[in-house]
This record gives sequence, structure tokens and C-alpha cells, in this order.
Amino acid sequence: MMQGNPLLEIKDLTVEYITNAGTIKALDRINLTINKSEFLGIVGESGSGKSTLAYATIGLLPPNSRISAGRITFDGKDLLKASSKEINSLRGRRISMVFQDPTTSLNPVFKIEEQVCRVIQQHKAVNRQIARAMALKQLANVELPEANHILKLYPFELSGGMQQRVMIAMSLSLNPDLVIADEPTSAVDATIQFQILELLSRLRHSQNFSMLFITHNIDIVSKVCDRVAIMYAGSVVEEGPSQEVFSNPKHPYTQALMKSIPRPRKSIAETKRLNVIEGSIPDLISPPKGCKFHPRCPYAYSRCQREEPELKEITVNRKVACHLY
Amino acid sequence: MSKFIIVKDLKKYYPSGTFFNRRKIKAVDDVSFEIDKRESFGLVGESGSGKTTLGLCLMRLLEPTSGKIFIEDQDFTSMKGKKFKEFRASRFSIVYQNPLSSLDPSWTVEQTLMEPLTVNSSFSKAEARTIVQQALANVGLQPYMLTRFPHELSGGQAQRVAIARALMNKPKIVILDEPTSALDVSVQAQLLNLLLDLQERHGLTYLFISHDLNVVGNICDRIAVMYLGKIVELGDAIELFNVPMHPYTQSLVSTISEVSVKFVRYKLKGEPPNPLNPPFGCRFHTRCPYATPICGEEEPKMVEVSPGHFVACHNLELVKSGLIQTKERAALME
Repeated sequence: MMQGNPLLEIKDLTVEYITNAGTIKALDRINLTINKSEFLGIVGESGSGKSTLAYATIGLLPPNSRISAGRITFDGKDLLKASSKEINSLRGRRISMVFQDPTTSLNPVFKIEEQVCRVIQQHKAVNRQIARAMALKQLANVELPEANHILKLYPFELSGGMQQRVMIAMSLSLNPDLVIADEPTSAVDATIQFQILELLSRLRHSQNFSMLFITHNIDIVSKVCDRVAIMYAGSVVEEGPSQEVFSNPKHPYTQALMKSIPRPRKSIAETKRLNVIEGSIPDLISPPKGCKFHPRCPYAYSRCQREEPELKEITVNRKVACHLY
Repeated sequence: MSKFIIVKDLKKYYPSGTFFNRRKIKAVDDVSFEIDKRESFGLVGESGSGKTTLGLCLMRLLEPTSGKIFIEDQDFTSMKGKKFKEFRASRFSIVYQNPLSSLDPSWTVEQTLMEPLTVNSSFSKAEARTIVQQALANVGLQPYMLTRFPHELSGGQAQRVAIARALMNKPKIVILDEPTSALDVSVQAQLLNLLLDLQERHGLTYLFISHDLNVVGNICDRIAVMYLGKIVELGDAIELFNVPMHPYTQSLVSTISEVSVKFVRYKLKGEPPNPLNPPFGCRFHTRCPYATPICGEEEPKMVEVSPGHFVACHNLELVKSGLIQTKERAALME
């Protein structure tokens, strides 16, 4: 599974933000691959660099950022060396994105028809009639009822769940190879979230795309993703098949993160108290020396303060960046 | 009456529509429940279910349309003027979801924490300062935080300040409206533990409003599940998660992965109906896999299925047997 067809290869990617307070190393030598028709989940807390990774891949980093090292190869093409014209032709057509909050990513002054058709016509030389037919088909595909009617509506006339379906329809309208989803279900309710995840797993079989799924919600990743990478303070600390990583986490951060998730108590004897990770995420302007997790790690020893661990394979398909292994 | 808080037939209708077509949104419709002292009572529901409105009505930040609220055997709903204000200030406090929008951005932490002291009681500056420092230590923050502004705080720190502020006037009841939803998992765990500590230390009663079943199931003793302004099920937290009886609760519990299932797991189709125009009869019947004709005609009453466990459903026998209506069944059991 790991040695499949790499669609996207990220090598030693380092991204920095230049701020008044200093340079923030948001991504620190990231190595990741996504194979064809694979769903890769990226899990991390705020400040871990997961969104930066998404924006670097699709070429939407803010102006105060700098890619100081590394390479992003998409289907054999080096994205960081490509011209903006080449990027523009890839973006939307072969790599597309679903953002977190559909209410802010749909344009409030245009009808759904205008927005979906514009994406199609931007990349395909078709007239409005054909574009409209394609849009209709795509809306039906994401299980929106009465697609004909929905095309005539403005975004505010749709519920959050329906808006997110429209976003998914737009991102899939040109049969992309890679979809980047940045927290696509965190703005909707639990039962709707469930429906959207189901929809994604179903569409995946019919349209055969790969996905970079960015979230802070571990439950979601274990439901839809084949593989998962856990990020902490700009580095990948653990990577592997999602079921295995969550049933048997290796990195102390992953272990602690799993334990800190509240679960309904099963009996009155069970304590309400949660296992917490003491302290807080490090300041990325001056991160701790050695392993960035060592100040919060219960297993840290002298080597962890001196030497930064590399992400290395410990068993088949499982990679961990920790001196314990 | 002996319960700490008694809510009886509480209603909150919002006016809506135009001058010629006046309509009402029944945000909270005929809700009754009781809360014990030092209890954590959870309110769960999706957006638009009325859980926040109910929380705000409980401390009369919103005036209920009708119904009664008794706090320590006193009729809170009919209190007026100075007595009302003093009673509320000495009993209630609230913590909102997003600390960065509920803290004043132009005030330092010290000013924020000082405010409740100067409004509600007469302390000298020096006294107030000591109290503020204690309050800060109480929520696990260092004294140097006092001079910080909200934008200099992390989300977790800001929420700690909001909690400290809520506790300044020594309330007995704290309404927690999604207090950890804006926070990361590891920060959430720290804050939930802090809330437990504070509850033990100060003997607090919590009304915990959240859409996150994992959080509510972990921290609450009893839970009420709301759907379109109605409580559809109410009971002990552990029982509710192990033996949910209302089809809506079952579908909610189905969405969390780590639950031992003693019922037919299924997924809900469609989205909640428009609260302006809720379905007649049982409000859930349009999405319910167990719905029978009576559900569209008559509103179900709350029935006590086991001690302290209440459910509002016409077809409890059907739900218990797990027989989803055959037509729906094919669609649901993929």
C-alpha cells in the first residue's frame, strides 16, 4: 500500500512566516506522500502546521510566508517551480479544495448556478448550457434533492450542511485527482457531519480521487482515512495506517492526545477526570531544542533535549519520530 | 418542593415574519426539568434545538414567554427590580463559547476581573486586588497575566479568564454554553478538569450546554436531549448513553464510535426542519425511522420509562423491539 503510485510527494518541506515578533517555523522538514486514490488524514492541534501544509500544496500561502526548503511534486511536476499559469491550470481542475466554513467560502452575492458553472467554464471550453448540465449532475451526485431548484438559490438560502455539499460538488466538478479538505465538517452538526463523511466515502469509489483530509477530530480520521499523519509544532511525529495508529499509538504525543479525548462514562465508578497533557504547545519562534515535545513528554530523557528525532520506520508502514524507538 | 432548580412548562417564542404575517419561532416549547444542587446537568442538541435559548432563559438574560423557574423554592420568574438583580447576581453566572468575543478586547485581565467586584459589592481597591489575584490562581493562571490583554492570551488562557470572571461573584449556578467547543483537544481536557476542580471546591451546579456528546457524556450527571425546542429524552447520563430510548437520541449516540450498542444503530436522513414551521405532532416524525401515523397527528407526552428516565415518544414498544418500519429499513440498513 505504501509503495503504490505516489500522486503527491512532499519532501523536506519547510515553511516560515515572517512576523514582527520573529520568524515562525510553521513547517519543519515535512515528508509525506499520497498515493493515487488514497485518503490521508492530517491530525494536529492549532499551530501544528496542518493548514499551512494544505495551503502550501495548493499554492495559497499568505504573502508573509516563505518556502525555505523542500519540494512538492504532483504527478511528476514540481509545484514549487511551476509558473503561476501552470499552477492556475492545475488548481481547481486537478487539485481542488474544500474549506472549513462554507458560509464564508461561497460568494454571498452570486447564485449557486453562477458559482458552480464558473468553476467549470474556467477550465473547460463549454457553453453555459453544458456547464449547467454538468453542475446539475454534480449536485445530484452529492445527494442534494431538487438540484434544479438549488441552482437558482443564493448561498444564504441553504443550510450549513447543504452549503458544504455544494462546496464538495464544486470541488469535484472537474474530476480532480486530489482534493484538499481543511476541516470540512467542523462547522456542521453531528448528524450532518456523519452524512457528509458517508458521502465522501461513497464519492471516493465513484470518482476515484485522493484526499488530503485536515482535521483535529480523531474520530473522523479513523472513519474515512486510510493513512494518518499526526503533526506537532510543525513536524510529523507519527504516520501509519489510521486504524493501527489509533488502536496502538506509538509516539507519546499521540498516546497522550488519544487519552485526553473525553468519552461518555460507562459506569458511575468511572472518573470524570481526564488524562491531560500538561503545559501548552511551544512558541514556534523559539521552539525547544531537540525533540519539540520533550518539555511535555513523560518519557523524555537527556537525549531528547539535545537531538531532534527523525521520522523513521519502526515496523512495516509505521513511522515514528521518537528516540524511544 | 425541595429541588434546587425547578423549571416548569418554560416557553420562549421569538416573534418573526412580517406585519401582515406574524409568526412565532417556538425556540423553547413547554420544557420542564429539575436540577439538584452540585449536579452537572447537560443540554444536548443540534443547532436550532433551543439549548442556548433555554440556558439564557434560565438566568433571565432572555425573558421567558411563559412558564415558571424556581430557585431554592423562590419564584425567580416573578422577581422584579432590585431584588431580581441581587438574586440573579448572587446565584448565576455564565461562560460563553468564544472567550475572545466575550472578553472586552480593550481591557486588561485585571480590569475584566475587577469589574464584577465593583458592580456587585463594595471592596477597597487593595481588597479587590487580592481577590482578583486569588481568582486567577484559582483557575491556574500566573499573576503576570493580570496586565495582559485578551489578544495576548491563547484560547485556553482566555477561557480560563472568562471562567475566573464568572466565579468572581461567588455564584451557585454556572451556565456553561459550549465552553470548550472553540478549543483544541488537549486544552479542552485541561479545562474540563479545571471545571471539575472548581465544582468540587466551590460546590457549583452546572448547566452544561454542548453539541459534543463525548464532552457531555463525560462531565454530566444527567442529560436532556433537545430537538426543535422540545426535550425529547431526559435521564441519567450513563443510562442515556447505554440505553437511549428516543429514536433521535439513538441516532445521536450512533454518531460516536466508542459506545457499546444495545439498540439498532442507524443514520438520520435529511436535515432538521425549519423551526418556523415545525412538523405537526411529534417534531421528529419526519426523520424518524419508527414513525407511524399517530406521530404526525399527536404530540407525544413525556413518559417515565425507568426511575428518572423520561422519553417523549409514541412508539416506545416499537423502538424497544428495534423494528424499523419496513419501507425505511431498506434505505437505512445499507
